[in-house]
Amino acid sequence: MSAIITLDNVYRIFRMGQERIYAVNGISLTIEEGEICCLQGPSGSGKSTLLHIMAGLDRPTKGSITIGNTRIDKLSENQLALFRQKHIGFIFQSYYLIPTLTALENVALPLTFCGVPRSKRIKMAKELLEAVGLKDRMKHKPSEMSGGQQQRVSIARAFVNNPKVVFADEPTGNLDTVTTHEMMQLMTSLAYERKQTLVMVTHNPELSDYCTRIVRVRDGKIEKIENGRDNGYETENA
Amino acid sequence: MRFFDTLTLSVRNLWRRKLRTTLTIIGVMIGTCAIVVMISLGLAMNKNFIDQLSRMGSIMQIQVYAWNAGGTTPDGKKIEPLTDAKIAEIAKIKGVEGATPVLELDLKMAVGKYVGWIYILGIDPDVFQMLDIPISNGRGLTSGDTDQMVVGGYVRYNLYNPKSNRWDPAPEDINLMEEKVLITWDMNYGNRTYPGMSGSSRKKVKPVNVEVVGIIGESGNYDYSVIMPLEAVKKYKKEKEKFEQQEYGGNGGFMIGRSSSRGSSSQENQGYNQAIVKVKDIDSVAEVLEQIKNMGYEAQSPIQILEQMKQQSAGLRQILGGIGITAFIIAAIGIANTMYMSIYERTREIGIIKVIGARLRDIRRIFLMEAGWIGIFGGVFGIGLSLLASMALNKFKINLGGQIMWMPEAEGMMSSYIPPWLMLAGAGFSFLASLLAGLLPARRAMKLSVMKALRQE
Repeated sequence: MSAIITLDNVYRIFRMGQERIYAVNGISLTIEEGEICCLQGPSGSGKSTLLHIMAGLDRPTKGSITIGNTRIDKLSENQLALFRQKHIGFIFQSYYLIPTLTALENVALPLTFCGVPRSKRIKMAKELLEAVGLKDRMKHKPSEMSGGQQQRVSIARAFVNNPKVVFADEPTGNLDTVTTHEMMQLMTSLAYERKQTLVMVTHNPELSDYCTRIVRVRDGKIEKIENGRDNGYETENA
Repeated sequence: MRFFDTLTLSVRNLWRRKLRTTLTIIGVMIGTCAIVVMISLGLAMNKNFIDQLSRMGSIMQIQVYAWNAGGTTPDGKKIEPLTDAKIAEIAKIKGVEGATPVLELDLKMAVGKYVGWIYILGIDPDVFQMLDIPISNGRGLTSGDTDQMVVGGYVRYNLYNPKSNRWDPAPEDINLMEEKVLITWDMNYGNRTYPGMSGSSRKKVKPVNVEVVGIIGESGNYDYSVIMPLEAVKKYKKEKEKFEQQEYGGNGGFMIGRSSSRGSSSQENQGYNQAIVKVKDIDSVAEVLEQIKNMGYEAQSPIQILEQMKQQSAGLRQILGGIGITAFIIAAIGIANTMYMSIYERTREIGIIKVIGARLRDIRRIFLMEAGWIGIFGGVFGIGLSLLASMALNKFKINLGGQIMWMPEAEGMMSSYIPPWLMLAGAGFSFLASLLAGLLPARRAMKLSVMKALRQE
C-alpha cells in the first residue's frame, strides 16, 4: 500500500484579537490508500479544522498537504474546485443537501459540475442510491425524508463521482445509535468495495471499531495513533 | 459544467422564488416600457415632421435659385449664371443623385373648343423619375420624350370656352389624356378679336400637337403645372420670343403674360433661374445645401424646416428620454437587490455546491444567468407592454407636439412610433442592464469562502 495523503508539519493559526490560537499545531501524518482513518478528540481539539485542511476546504497557515501527487495547499481556488470534483467526496454532519432538489438530483449534482451528460449522471446516481438502499425514495425531497435517509443521500452523493478519498465530518452526529451503526457499515463497506480511502472525524469512541486506524488529537497535536481492526473486512470476507 | 445544465439550474432557482422573480420582472418590464415609450414619443414627433414636410415636397430635394447671378458672394466671388455646365457641376457633388434646370414658360393650351393658359416647367426627363412626383394616372416623363407632357390635376380648371358669352368652363370629367391637345405661343389664340385691339392684324400661328401621357396626383406643388421635357420647352421658348418680337416689336411692345425669361433669347449664356437637385439620402441634404450656397446661389429645402423643428423639440425629447432612463435605473437596482437577497438566502447552498465541485465560473454563470433571464423576460414583456401603450396613445391621439403650426392636422399623425430597431434595442438594453446589475452579486457569491458559507444558518 502507498501513501495517499501526506501532511508535513501543518499549522493552522487563528487570530482572535491579540491572541493566536493554534487550532492545528504542527501535525505530520501519512494516510495509506484504502485506509479507514478516524480522527478522534474532544471538542476544540482541532480535529475538524485538520479535516477541512486535508480536504482543501480551508488553507493551512504553514506546512504542506499532498493528496496523491498533488500539493493541494498550492492550488488556486479554481484548481481546488476541479480537484474536489474529480478526487474528493464529502459527508457532513448536517447532510447539507439542496432542499429544493430530489434525492436523485442531489446525488447527481456533483456530476453536473463535472460536465457529465444528463442521462449518464442519472444512471450513475440511481446506482448509488440503490447501493445505499434508497431505491424507492429517489423522487423525494430532503424534507420528506428522515435524518438517516438524508444521510444516506449525502453518502451516495459523496461516492457518486468515484473519488479517491472521502472525508466525513461527524457523519453520525445527528443520528440515533441504530442508524449510526447502519451508516458506519454503509460507509466503510462502500469505501472498502471501491478501494477508497475514508477519513472521518468523530468524538464517538464506539466507532473506532470500524476503523483501521485511530488518530487521537488534542490541542492541535497528535496525541496517539492506534491501530484499529486490522483490515477487518478482509478477514471477515475471507 | 455544461451550458444547458447551467441554463436549467438558473431557471429552477428563479422558479423557486416565484413571487420575488415575478415582481422583479414586472419592475424591469415597466422600466423597459418607460424607456421605449418615451423614445417612441420623440420618434413619432420626428416622423410627423418628416411626413408633413414630404407632403409639402420631397424632403430630399433642393430648390436652387439664381436670383443673384452676376453679383458677388459675401467673400467677393463672382456668382456665375446657372448654366447647363453649372448644373452638371452641381450634379457631381457627393450625395447628389441628379440635378435638372427648371425652365418656366407660359403658353396657351387648346382642347377642342376650350382654351386656357398653362404654366410649363421644362425639366430633364431623366431626372423627372427621381423627383417623386406623384402620378395618379398614366405615366411620368421618361428619356426620349419630346412633345409628351404630364399635367397637374387642376390644370383642367383653367380651360374655358372663350367664344361663349358667359363663363363656360371645360366639363369636370374632361380627360386630357384622351383628348387632342394643342399648345401655342400665341397667347391670344382662340380669343374673340375686337376691332382696334393690338395684334389683331397678326398672322396665324400653327399650334403644336402634344400628347398628355400622365396626370400628376394631388401634391400641392404641381397641381396647376404642366411638366415637359426641357429641350421641348427650350424650343417653344425661342419660338415664343421670336413671335413676340415680330408681333409687338422688340421689348417696347405690349407683353402679355408672365415672361420668365431674362429678356434676351440666349438662354445658354444667361443661365436658368431655377434648378432642382435630388439628394440620395436624407443625411446628405444639409451638406449639399451648404455647398450650393457656397457657389452663391439661393438654395432651399424642407429639411431646413425639419432641422428647426428638431431643434425646437430636442429639449422635450431629452426630458422624455431622461424619464425613461430613470425608470430603468430603478428597475436595474431592483434586479441587483433581488440577486443580493437570493445570495444571502442561499449562502449555505453556495457553500455546498462549492464543496461538491462547483467552480467559481459555474457559480458566476448561474447568478448572471438568473439576472439575464429576468432581463430577457422583463425586456420582452416590456416591449409587449410598450406596443400596447403605443397603440393606446395613437388611438386616443394624445399628442405632445410634432405638428407644424400652419399646417392642418393631417391624418396618420402618430403619438408614438416604435420601429423594429427600437424593440430590439429595448429588449437588448434590458438584457445588458440586467447582466450588469447581476454582476456585483455574482462576484460576491463567487468570493464567499466555503467554510464561512457552510456555517451560515
